[in-house]
Amino acid sequence: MNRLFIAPERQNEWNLLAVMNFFLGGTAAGFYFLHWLNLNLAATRAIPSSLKLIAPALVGMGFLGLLFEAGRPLRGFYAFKKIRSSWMSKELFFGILFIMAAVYDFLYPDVLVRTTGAVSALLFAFSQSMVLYKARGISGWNMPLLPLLIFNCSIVKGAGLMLLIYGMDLLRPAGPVLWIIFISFISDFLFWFLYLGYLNEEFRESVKALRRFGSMLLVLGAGHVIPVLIISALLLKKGGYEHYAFIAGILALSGALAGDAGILLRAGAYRAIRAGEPKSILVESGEESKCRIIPIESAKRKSISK
Amino acid sequence: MLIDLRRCIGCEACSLVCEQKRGTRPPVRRVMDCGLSGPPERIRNFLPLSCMNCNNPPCVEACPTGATYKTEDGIVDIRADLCLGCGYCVLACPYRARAIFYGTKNGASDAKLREKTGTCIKCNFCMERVHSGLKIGLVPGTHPEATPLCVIACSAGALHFGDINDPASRISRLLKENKAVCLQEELGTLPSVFYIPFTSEFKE
Repeated sequence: MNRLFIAPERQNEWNLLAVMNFFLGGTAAGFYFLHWLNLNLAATRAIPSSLKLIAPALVGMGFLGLLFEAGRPLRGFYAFKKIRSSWMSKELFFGILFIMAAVYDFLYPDVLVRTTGAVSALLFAFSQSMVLYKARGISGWNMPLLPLLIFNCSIVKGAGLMLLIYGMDLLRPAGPVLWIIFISFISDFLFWFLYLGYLNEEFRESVKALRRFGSMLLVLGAGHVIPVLIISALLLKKGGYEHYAFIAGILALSGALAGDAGILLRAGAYRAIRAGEPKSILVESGEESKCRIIPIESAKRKSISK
Repeated sequence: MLIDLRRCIGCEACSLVCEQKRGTRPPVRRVMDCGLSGPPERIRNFLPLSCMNCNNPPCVEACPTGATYKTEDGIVDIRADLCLGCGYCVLACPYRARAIFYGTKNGASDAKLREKTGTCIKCNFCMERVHSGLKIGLVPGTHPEATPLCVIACSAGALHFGDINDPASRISRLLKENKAVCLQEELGTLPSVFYIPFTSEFKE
């Protein structure tokens, strides 16, 4: 029967500061990973050392935003206590590990530390995606494709920043890195389509705002299609399109920011409260009553009346 | 806990007594207006809503500090001194049963309230009351001193509390006599609050 008791309602717990954390953190993680790949794939021109601190600075700014949003920011260090169970703890752990590795690599360049930084950047981005997925009260986030979408978005955001710097002629990505960027844009485009096309009725209602023409034009058109065309030109032609990379970067970052804000704020609606079919919860079974709905837990649960 | 929706008149006495006892806002127990039932009855239905103290609570898994925990007897509670006020558990709860307490208008004068400011609040079935009653041999749901305040304050007798594993308890008897529902059953949270549905809505 699944009767609706209370209709969905917009969440107001996490606001623009949370969007800032997801956007800056994702961008930094994606950028650092691509930068690491670029160094390992013999880039013709590496990033200037002064720009190497961009990624840890962005993650740090994102965390600062989170602290401002928390009711008791001075207790921030408690958030590392549940690394095994809470994805928010994991996010903070990998984020701090990433910052430390990136700063250390900046001061004392070391391949092993840089690799640790790149791996922790990826784990940080994945933890961010799982933070949203595990918010079970929000139907627009608690869907299986979301972790893939948010994780892939991090690579796209990092690619946006890399293209922007490439357009400023401060680095030159190696060919394989450009191909990875191209593939990440294409896969992100597909993930967005699958995410917005998910058939669950309540989910569709919560992402309604993201399915509007203006939103899709910004997120998919400006954020994906135009950058893909520019990257294709960069891949096919050997020169002459470098300055367009700047535009591709700006558009990719704008689209990703709109996407993050859309998912967190527009699609962030509490799920409807529903009841199932009425049924017998307790049935007589010999002398003792047994619970049908929670048979294992009720047996385990210590009786509070004793 | 068992809530008989056939009896609830939406007086909000449960919500008021809870708010008065805790001194925090927003109230952790709310009475939602579900609108009118279909013709010919056209009865206004209410849904008292609070923490379901789930057996499989998503908030405990979400909490990054370990402030949210589950007691041995299945009650989910918060250690205010550990809570960061990040709001993640609020979003993880599919029952909208949690909120962040941002302090009172005049500033909290009570030390307990000051400790709770900026942290998450929720219903814990008046845990201290139930536990202190149990210590002196009282039975929750039978003796008022060991029963949550909302159950005592309910003017229509819609709220019931007790041990469903005890076949002699009032709550067990009611559950045996009536069909009941759980909210968001498909999510597998195994809530500890059951509802006897509105008769007008669940005619068989």
